[in-house]
Amino acid sequence: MVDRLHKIVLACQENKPAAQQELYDMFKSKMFAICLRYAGNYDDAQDILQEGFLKVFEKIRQFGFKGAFEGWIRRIMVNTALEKYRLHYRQIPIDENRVEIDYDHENDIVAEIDMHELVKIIQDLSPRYRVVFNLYALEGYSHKEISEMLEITEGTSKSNLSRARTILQEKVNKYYLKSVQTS
Amino acid sequence: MKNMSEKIDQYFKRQFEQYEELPPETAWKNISAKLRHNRKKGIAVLFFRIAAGMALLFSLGIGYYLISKPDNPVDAPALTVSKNTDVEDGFSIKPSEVDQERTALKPVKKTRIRSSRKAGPADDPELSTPVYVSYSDAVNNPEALQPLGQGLIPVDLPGSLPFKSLSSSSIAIYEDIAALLAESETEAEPDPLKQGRWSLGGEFAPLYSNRTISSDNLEADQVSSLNDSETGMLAYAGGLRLAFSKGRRLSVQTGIYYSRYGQEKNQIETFSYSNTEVTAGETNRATYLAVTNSTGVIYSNNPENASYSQAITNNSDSYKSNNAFAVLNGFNSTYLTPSEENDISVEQLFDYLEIPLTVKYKIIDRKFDFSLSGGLVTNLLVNNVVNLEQNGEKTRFGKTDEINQVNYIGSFGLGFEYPLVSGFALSLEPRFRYYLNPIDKSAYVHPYSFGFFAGISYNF
Repeated sequence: MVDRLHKIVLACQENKPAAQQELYDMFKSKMFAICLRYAGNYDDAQDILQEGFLKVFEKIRQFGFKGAFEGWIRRIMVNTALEKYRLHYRQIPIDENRVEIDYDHENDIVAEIDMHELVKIIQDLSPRYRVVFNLYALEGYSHKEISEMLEITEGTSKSNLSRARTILQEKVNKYYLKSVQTS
Repeated sequence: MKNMSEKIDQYFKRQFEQYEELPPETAWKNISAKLRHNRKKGIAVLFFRIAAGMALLFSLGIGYYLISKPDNPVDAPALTVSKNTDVEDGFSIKPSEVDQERTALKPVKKTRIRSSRKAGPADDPELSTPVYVSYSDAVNNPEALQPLGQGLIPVDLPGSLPFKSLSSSSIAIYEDIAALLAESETEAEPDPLKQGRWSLGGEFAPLYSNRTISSDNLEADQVSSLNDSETGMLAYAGGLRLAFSKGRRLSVQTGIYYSRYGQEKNQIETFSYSNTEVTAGETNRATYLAVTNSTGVIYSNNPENASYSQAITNNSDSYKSNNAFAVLNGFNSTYLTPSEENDISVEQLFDYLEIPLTVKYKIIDRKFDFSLSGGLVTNLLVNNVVNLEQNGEKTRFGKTDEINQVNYIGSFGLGFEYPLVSGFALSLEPRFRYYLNPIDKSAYVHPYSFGFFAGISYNF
């Protein structure tokens, strides 16, 4: 598998179309899953995936086989998603006309939610909350790193994460209650 | 609380760790189409770079030729007589017999003319001693040399020139010719044009600017729609021009210019979004400006002071789709209403610094000159602005993204120049300029402009 990937990457570095398609087939599902949770909807996720793969093929000569290729391609996808966020959403102030959630801190997460629903729950977050939550909780970046990436303060990153968690918890609970009632 | 936060993080992390989702098939189709397009573009860029390189080399070559060309290339022909003429007969010339100043004329390209023995006194074996005469003399003054040949040996000349060998009796005539040529040499005044001259000036032009859309990624009806809703606008260019000419007709020009290109977009729509039943995390209100434009992506860089939260720009999709309003959390199309006010237009302006390298050739070299000029302009984006005009009031809205920073323009002009006093000259040049590369990263748009460059220059 590793040897096969090595050969495909080498062929992609020579701009060979067949290798490009093979590389795409190899990573498309994993990368689209990442795009889905950074995007606001399915179409935007497809845009990120397309732009991301075009960048992969454009920059693949820079890949020096010094680390895992999957990590490299994943970083390109995340960076593409962040570029899209910076371009379209950074200037939009977060709408503060929100209803405060009566959050029960003692509730635990027990629901096994369908993945499509879970994706929808993340996509429904405001763009900033979604990006901060993804970067912190799912990618493992620190608040300092996030603040530099998104050009916000660390405090803003922390408060955005807190709000995102609150909203996610509420939605998960709501979904769980609904599924219990219908079953 | 911290424990709870970690739990929700871990829950999502666990769920998404192994999550995979097949993308739609159209994704690969779009990627491969773009890859094909990039390959074609790569070839075109390579071709363009080679062409630009050749144009640059051509311009530099002409410049170098004009600068390094030897002075006075059409000097008065110098008559050179070999000093190896110590034959004591009537056919050779001794240095002592001709004035040193006259015989020691400036050497020029010499052609060794071998005498061919055919008749008469030339039978003297001493004639085999070669006599050197400049070829330019033979070519330029055959008639003047004709009398030398009375009854003497004809010589072989390239092109069967009517040139004959020298006789002793012709020394006097030779002296006359040499004197004449020496005189003409001393009388010739150096032509300042041949020594090269510089010209410094300024020029300015109002321009009409517009663009062409060329892409195989857009449907014909999309191009048609964009052409219907976008118009060219009046722009300008101006700057300092430095020219060097050596000779009367050719000159190389460069300088530094500032120019503006722009286009106006009509048919703007606005949307208001008002969520009356807002729940947690959902957007309550927003006002959107929807622009379907050809050139780049318009965005507002100052939304808190603008009437519109954001501009949605694209050139293919319908912005009425939910996708365009993805930023609105919990978007529901029932809360979306088109705004009544729609007499809005947007103008996209791009300011550039330009460095031209052009060659100018004078077709008519009279008091009133007429010339052709052409060359390459390197163009650097220094500023871009998007203005919003509504109810006659213009406000700065934002910028255009996805625009190339460096561009190359092909320039072609017809120039008229009229001398004023003391080295000053007035010029007028209608000039057409076309962006050789697309200015937007989507590779759709090639702007062009046409204008009358008027200026004044000083020759020194």
